[in-house]
Amino acid sequence: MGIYLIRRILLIVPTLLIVTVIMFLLVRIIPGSAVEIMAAEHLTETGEPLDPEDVRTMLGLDKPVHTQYGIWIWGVLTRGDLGVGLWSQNPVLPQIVKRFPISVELGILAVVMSIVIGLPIGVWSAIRQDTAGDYVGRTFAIGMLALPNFWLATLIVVFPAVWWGWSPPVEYIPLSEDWWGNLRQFIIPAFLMGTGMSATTMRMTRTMMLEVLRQDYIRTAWSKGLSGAMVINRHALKNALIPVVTVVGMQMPVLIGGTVIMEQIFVLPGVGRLVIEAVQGRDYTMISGINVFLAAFVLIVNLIVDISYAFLDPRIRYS
Amino acid sequence: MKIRNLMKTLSLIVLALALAAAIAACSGAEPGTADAPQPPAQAAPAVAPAQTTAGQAAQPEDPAPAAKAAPADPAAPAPTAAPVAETAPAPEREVAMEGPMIVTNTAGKDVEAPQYGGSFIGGWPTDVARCCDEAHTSWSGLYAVENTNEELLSGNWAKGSQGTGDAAFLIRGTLFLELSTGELAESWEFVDENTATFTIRQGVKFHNKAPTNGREMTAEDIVYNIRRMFSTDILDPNPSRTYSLYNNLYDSVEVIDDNVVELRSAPGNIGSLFQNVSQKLRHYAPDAIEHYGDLRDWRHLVGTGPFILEEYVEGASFTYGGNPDYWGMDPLLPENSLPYVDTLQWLIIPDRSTMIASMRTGKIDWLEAVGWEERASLNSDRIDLNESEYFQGGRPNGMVFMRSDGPPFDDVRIRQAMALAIDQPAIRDDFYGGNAVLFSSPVAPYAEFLPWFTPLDEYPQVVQELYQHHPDKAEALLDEAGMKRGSDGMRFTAQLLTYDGNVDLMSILQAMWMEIGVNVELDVKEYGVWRSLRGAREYTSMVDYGFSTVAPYLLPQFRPHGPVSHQGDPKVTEAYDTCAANLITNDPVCQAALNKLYPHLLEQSWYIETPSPKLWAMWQPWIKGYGGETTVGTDETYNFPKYVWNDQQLKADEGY
Repeated sequence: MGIYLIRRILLIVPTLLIVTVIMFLLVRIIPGSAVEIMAAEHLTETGEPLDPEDVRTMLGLDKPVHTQYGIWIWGVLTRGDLGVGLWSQNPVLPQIVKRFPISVELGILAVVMSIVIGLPIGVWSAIRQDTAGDYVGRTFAIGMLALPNFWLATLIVVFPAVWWGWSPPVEYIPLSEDWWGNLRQFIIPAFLMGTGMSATTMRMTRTMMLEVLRQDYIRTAWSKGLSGAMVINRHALKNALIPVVTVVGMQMPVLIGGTVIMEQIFVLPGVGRLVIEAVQGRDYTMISGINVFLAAFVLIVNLIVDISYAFLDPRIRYS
Repeated sequence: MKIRNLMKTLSLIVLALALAAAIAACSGAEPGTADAPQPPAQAAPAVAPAQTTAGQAAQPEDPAPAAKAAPADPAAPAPTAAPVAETAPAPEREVAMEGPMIVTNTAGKDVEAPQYGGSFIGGWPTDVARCCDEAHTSWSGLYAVENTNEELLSGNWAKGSQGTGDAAFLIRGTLFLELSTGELAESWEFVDENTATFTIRQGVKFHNKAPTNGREMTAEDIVYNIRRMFSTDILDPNPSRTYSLYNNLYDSVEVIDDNVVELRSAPGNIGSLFQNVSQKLRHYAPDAIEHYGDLRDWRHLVGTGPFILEEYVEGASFTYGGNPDYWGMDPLLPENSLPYVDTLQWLIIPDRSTMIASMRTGKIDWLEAVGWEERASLNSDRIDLNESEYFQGGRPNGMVFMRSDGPPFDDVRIRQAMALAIDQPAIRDDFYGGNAVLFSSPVAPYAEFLPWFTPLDEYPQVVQELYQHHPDKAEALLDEAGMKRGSDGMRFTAQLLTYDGNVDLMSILQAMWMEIGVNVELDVKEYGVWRSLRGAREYTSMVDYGFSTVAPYLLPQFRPHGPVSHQGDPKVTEAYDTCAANLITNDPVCQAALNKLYPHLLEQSWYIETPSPKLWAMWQPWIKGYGGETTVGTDETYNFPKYVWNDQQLKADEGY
């Protein structure tokens, strides 16, 4: 296990390096440039022209791309410095670190919601296979998967405001200051994201439960006279959960990226908002920094998911 | 059976969790409280007649004054010195009153007596690019410090909607001296063609926080800030606020008396320098700058303004507390100290649906740039909202510029034909539902610009026709220019660079051009790409651009670096040079030069102006003493909250 862990952790380094090269180049390939946007805005604001070449020089963008990359990656490796935002002129890493917990909190709550909704329905559908309850559960799951959560979010923002004079909170309250206020702000976007994800969780749970419930050891458990709760919880559900955990684990990084729209609609100042602003302003360092940070996060989550198998299933051994 | 029991239990758990979630989300209350908002009342409470300070019965002020104003006298010469402001002692603050009391303000209007306390919460669509040091910030970054750090001169609130109505105070960029008043400067004077002096206001204190701890501001502090901004070595590479651009205007600044600062310009540039120094430069506590190195961290921000920045949550909100030591008095009610509200908050709400819902439910007090469809939606159930109408003067898009440095648009007849093909009234009436202004350039007809604005019907016939629909004349001009229809019925093809957010309007133009045989291909880019390409002037023949009226004398779109000609026009250059030499010190000369230029400018048809959509500023009925202003000064966007007050009783009565 120890050797396996070390090997996985070491593999993260070259993977991340490849990600940095790809991201650094990609953001420079997309059309548009922060320099030209700055020059245009300056002209609009002041009526005075700016020489784009001067701006390029001031921002350090006049050097060859490989030189820019070298300077940047050296800072990352030696000082953990992801660079300075072209627009903000502030270090990128602290800005990401400040906003990342908000996206993670939303992501975790959404996963919890998806489990709370998806798991019981999946179990119910499996043990009531081909009954009305099964059909209702599956229809609900597919329905939630089909409905775009940004559309549902807009409905939740617009209609209660018109009908009842109520709208979701718009002032961000940190968890550390007021957990209840924080929960009130996060619960709706988390619920909406969770319902969409719950479909996958539900389907996976149902499929795995159906498979497990047909196993001999389940039949043995029933024949021993164990209670339904004991059979379902201890013998069936736990064994059916391994693929479900994989699915849920893989949803987490996707969720962080998927929070962009929810953060916009529900006024949550997470990484998603930062990404949008950076892309619109073509802030190369910010875009690269966020992507490297998120890539590292995904790799770490994957590692944790893999390790968790061993705890869920004693038969799994890493060597 | 046991499985059934288990599933019942599971179902109950799910139901309970869903209920808990719904209650948590829907309740506006803390656990154990009952302060959830009620549906809004549809009518404001009646105001009983009350005795005015002049001893006369009076009616309350119109709750929704429009931003309409009489033009300033164009013949009036620019003042060379400002009067010394009133320095009445601050009265004791009254927190609550029994019903509205009516008072007469200095403009002779009967208004409700302002109350102290409460908050003002405004909505912003985006966060600022960086906060909070003028030497390191972007343009939007200054929004955060407009209420904390002051300038030498500011807009005169008494000239706005609540006072004489001479100024709309809706647009940043230009403020004429007759509409200005002293802020940190008590008065000013032009000594000669290269020198101006400012008498610095006495008794102004910095915010009571370290390291200044509320000490009094001095003339040396003013000089420190001016020198700092013209010292380019301390500036960030971001060029947005690089004062080095104006270094050619600047010579020196020094304290020549206890409270008198002398500003000297490069020969002949005192007007431009005066404007940049007195109306665009905010002042910070030098102690704080020296102590912290710069004031980019909002916690270090120290100024003299009416509010103190207490919290900035990036991407979410700015929260300010009232400055109890603020020097300013209400110019319309000089016995009242400012600010009226205890708390100022800007909430950053990027999603437009959420913004409108927040306005509808009273979560924010103020919102600007409300479109006509949004306004109709809000008015469907919030008829009590106040509003002021304006139109998009500084437009980011909706004007089509044609490159005139090569064929086909180097021929003025072809440019005019492109304009004549557009059915402007139809766009106004059908696309904007009648909620648009047909003609608003080259200067926006805001109250303060009216002397600089010539109505369309006073222009030559050829110019007037450019804003009508004359496809036959367009075809004749194209024939005359040698652009005959080919076998396929088309005359020529051009490309128009636009972005995904404006495709609808551009498609309408495309169809109208098609009718005269011009095939315009839309080159639709993502917003960031469009911004970048238009900035770099990398478009083939036409671009969907904006038109800035923030500083009409600068003529940014028409000078050689602008998007219009790529070459420059001698008449534009001549007018610009005349204005630059006479700005501030002799505005009528600049005004005359521009008024002479404008017919030529419009006749050249370098751009096609589509109707400018109307917009509305909207605010809650409990926000009073306000008429829709956004920028009370040259460069002081969102500095108005110190003048407004919150009728907390009305707010409570309406269930918010």
